[in-house]
Amino acid sequence: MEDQLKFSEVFIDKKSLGTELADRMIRQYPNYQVFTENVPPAVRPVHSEKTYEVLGANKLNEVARTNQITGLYSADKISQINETDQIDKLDEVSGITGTNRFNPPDEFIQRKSRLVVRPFQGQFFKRCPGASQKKALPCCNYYVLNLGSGCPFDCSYCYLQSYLGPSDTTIYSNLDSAIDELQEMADQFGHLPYRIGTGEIIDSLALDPLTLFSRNLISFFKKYPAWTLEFKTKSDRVVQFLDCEHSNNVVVSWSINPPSIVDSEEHGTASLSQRLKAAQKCVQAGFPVAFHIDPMIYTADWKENYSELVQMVTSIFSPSQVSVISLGALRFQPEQKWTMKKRFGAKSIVNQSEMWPSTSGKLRYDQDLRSQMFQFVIEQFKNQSPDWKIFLCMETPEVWLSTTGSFPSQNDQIKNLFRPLPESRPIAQTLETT
Amino acid sequence: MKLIPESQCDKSLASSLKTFWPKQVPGVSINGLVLIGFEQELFFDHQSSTQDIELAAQEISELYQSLYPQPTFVELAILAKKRKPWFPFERICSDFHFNWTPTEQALSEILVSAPQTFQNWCFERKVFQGDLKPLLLLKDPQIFFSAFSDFSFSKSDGCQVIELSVDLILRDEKFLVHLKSLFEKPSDLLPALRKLKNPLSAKQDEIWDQKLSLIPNSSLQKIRWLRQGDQKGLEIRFFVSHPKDLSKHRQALQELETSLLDLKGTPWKIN
Repeated sequence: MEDQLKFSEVFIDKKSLGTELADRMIRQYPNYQVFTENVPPAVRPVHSEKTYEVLGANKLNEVARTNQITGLYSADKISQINETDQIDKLDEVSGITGTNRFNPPDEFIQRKSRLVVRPFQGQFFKRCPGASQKKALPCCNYYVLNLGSGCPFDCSYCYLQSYLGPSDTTIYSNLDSAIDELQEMADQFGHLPYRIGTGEIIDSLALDPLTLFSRNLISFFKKYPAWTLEFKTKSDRVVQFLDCEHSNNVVVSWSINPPSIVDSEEHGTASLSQRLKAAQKCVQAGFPVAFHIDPMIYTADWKENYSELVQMVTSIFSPSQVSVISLGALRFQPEQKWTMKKRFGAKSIVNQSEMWPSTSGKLRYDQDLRSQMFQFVIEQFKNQSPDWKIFLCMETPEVWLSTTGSFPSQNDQIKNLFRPLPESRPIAQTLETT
Repeated sequence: MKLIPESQCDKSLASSLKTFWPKQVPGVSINGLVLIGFEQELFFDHQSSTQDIELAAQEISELYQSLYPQPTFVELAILAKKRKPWFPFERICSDFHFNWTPTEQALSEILVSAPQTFQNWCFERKVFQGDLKPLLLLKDPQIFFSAFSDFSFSKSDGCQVIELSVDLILRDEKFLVHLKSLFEKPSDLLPALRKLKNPLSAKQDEIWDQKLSLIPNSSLQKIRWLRQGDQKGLEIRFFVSHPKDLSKHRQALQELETSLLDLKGTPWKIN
């Protein structure tokens, strides 16, 4: 986890200089570079055919993830890593002969480790992608506030792989503009129960110790208790805002999965127990928490895995401490499957899944299997207490019906989330990719 | 343009692709490099009249576009591989709004060294780079090509064969031996590959086929277990020649409903 704050290169847009954020970055990363128009292009790392031959693409990517090094595949850098016997063999490598045609170095890892600070010129505040599929999916009125893009974590199933492609980890320096947008909305609809999350195209908290955006947002949302702010994360970074006063409307949420799935698929993230410990800290500080068991991933022993997960959650938290639990199953755009296979190998769990095209255009598990998986987890929670509030994220009405026996608008515990809300002005929708 | 004999021409762009060119018309070449009509004895040869490189490239690109208004990926791949250094390939791609990235380059290299049967299939079925992308995942794509002696599928089936085969080879290279035996009966290939790629779903489908066999046959309706995307269900077909036939079908449908609801382990919810 600590590696997530280490970056191989840090670039600050000249227009961002002088902002509080840029000052903080300069203190943290004295070797930063200033750019004026475009971020300097990433120099593609190269590795020798011999390196590839010795380690194979998967091992190279694994080492890259572990060491957070770009240009990893150059022979001199590889030889600096003395991690395993296999890598020792790389001493034999003499010179670089070019990239391997079929397994080029992982550009995603390289780009993730470049941090860019720049102002954002577009609209910060958007509707959740699910809202654009209202005909196919029940919409829970979620809004997103993007304060950066690109995630330093490297989950095998991450939709950003197809949404953004290989991209620098970017933080926007003009938080004031984002707050202005929120204010404009709040002036008109501050009394309505809008739910706004910051974790759509960047993890809400992974970089928060650097940006401290959480503190600014909590302070803004304090004035609008009808609104809910959600920080969604796979990190355990919460201490930076725990002392902030709030109106009980800041939900800190975690995407969680059983430990075996976290280990094999959610590279670079906090472990499940670290996430749950962080959630405990939030509860102790009076923040509501939420959990997103999403994406649920099928394995031969999925029942044991998810039973263990539910057990871990329910042994620590009571339903009154958890505002909501959402469930979703593995899904991704068809074109993403080749990126996933290339990056994580055909033997990774997500790449062995049996996926089918769904009405929303994404690949998903068979509808009956999804329903079965959701039913199982809901039952596990409800066996502990009927008070757990659980809903399905980005699921079809058919699956809602076969899983819960009703539509979300008919469920007393969650129907408020699905009640349509007015919009003050045309609000951009993100691409239909999550 | 002047007419030149075959002896003054370079036919290095020739391939096994069956590009149409009328027998009665001389072929076309640029600076002696034949572009089309490889079988001809005479060629209309274009030689640029300008020293301006940009302008010369534009002329060649326009000529190429007139000969190949919609080039297939395999044609571009051959051109990319065998062209002469002076040939403005990038300009042609750009004029076709075709983004020739390292991925296209890598795919073109695979395609040019693929068996002729495969190249011809790509040409005849207008297979484009997106359909061939799975091949990039193989360390040695030739191992895929080695599995078949003929490749004569429809475009959709062929693309699925590539995708499923590559997936299975990546999981286990030993699968290749199995793949070779599957190619011996092409009609069975795709169902077999689907079954191997999706064993859980295949097993489920088998169970359902068995369950359906327990339902009394109806002379009125044809029933089959069908997958549509991420959903499975029953397809029921019947034919009506008179409105009164509908009554008979309504009766038969009610009987079918009872039989289906009686089946144990159904995926639907019985309220």
